[in-house]
Amino acid sequence: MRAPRIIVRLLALALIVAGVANASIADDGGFKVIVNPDNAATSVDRDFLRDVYLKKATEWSGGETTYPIDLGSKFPERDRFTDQVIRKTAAQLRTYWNQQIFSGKGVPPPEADSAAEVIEYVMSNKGAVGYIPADADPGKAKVIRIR
Amino acid sequence: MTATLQLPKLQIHGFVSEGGFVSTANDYIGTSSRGSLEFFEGALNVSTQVADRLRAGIQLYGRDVGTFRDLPPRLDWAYLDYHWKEWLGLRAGIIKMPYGLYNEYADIDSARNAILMPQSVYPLRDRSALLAQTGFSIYGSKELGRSAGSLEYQAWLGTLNVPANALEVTGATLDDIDTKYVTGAQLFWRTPVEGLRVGGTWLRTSIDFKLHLDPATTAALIMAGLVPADYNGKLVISQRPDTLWIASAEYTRENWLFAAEYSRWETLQESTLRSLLPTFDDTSERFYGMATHRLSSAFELGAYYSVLFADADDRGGHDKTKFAKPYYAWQRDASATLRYDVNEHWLWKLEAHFIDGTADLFASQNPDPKRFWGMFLFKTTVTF
Repeated sequence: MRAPRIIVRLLALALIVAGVANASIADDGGFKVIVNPDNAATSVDRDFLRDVYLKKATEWSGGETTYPIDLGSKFPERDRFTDQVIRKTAAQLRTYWNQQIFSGKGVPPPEADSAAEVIEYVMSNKGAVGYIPADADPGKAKVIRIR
Repeated sequence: MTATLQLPKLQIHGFVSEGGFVSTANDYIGTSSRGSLEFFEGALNVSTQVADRLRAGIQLYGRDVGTFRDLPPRLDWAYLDYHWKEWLGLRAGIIKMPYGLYNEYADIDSARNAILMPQSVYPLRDRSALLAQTGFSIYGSKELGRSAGSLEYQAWLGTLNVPANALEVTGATLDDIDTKYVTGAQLFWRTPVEGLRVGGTWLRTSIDFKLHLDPATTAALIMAGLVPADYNGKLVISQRPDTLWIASAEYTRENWLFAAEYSRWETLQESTLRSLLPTFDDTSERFYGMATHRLSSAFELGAYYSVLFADADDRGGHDKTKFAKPYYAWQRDASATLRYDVNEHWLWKLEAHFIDGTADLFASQNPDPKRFWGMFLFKTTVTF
């Protein structure tokens, strides 16, 4: 009878570790991900979010077209988002977009000069997704968790 | 909504490159043994989001790279792209052709470390023929789950746009190039190991080269009794089919990139003058290993070792009917590159090659090539 208890404890430990890992993206990353309030999502898979920003994924699970928006390169949160979500260095991401631009496959998401611009964009497009500094007020935009 | 946040109606991008190269012996790319500054490339593209998930774009590309000239610039790609779902998109028009890891990006200097990509797999001499096709392609990706990675795939059918200068012809004039078809498929598995992707590409094409021999050549052949006395000089060389395949692996981790690819090109060539150009069936073997490391935001180092065997069944060049000297049968190229990014839009590169063998040289430019030789290049590129 001891084995199942050990398994339960291991599972609990794994869940705690997973929770800590998720928290590390959301909290230590220094940014929060926001979507339009009409978007039904309450959380977003990290791989899906990466593909949205690389323009490989085109729609939310409800069928709405995705519209990602970046913070400008002057924001430290941009580097953290690139590292933790897209999992590329800034140079690798630049290479990726040069490949896309000059083979005709796509262009990078638009860049915002402030958190307020990101929020405005997200509020104006139902399928939009953005990220803002963790201490910025998201206003009426919905903050979602990365899982 | 502020206007700055809207995607512009038209996106305009381009790049301009200039450089130079010199070799210690042999003429490669151009007149490298004398040194050359004929190393210009430029591209300008315009694209727009026509509707939800529908894009259209066009790019002009020109180059003056030694022997290889695309001036005035020609259409590099021009297509519609409807990305319906993540797992299915459709492109139609003149489309860059996938082959291995980098063929679609082979002339984007800012998107790679090396000045010359490994020439065994991405030869400049075949760039015009293999870079794009006119037709259709479908593409997509499919998540397999967090523990299984994802698949990315493409398949295409069309014709090649082979410019007249893509074929080296002496003693004859090229009248027409008739690409019957080009088709292929590519599958990559983005593995659960972060940064590791592996895959393969298969490509098949059939091309007729229609020529007429110069009067002097025709007369000489008649005199030698190799052709009938009423021979009109017309000649069709058919490559049907050429089959190319490549296995690829790439691993990126932090500031490192490792890539390796192995390829074979199988050519079946026939002609209407079998007494002069008998049917032959050749398979060349091509592979390389490459590593790059970004030292800082400004500097990046790279190196590769690239090998080409003109005949996979005779790597040592023993068949004297094919190779006058054994080292005509291979080309082994060890290369090192230093890339310096002045800023996000401007870069410089320096590169050295140490080469054994001459399999990738044009015979007409190198009647008596040297076995061991070196090549040095520099290049600067501005991207906007």
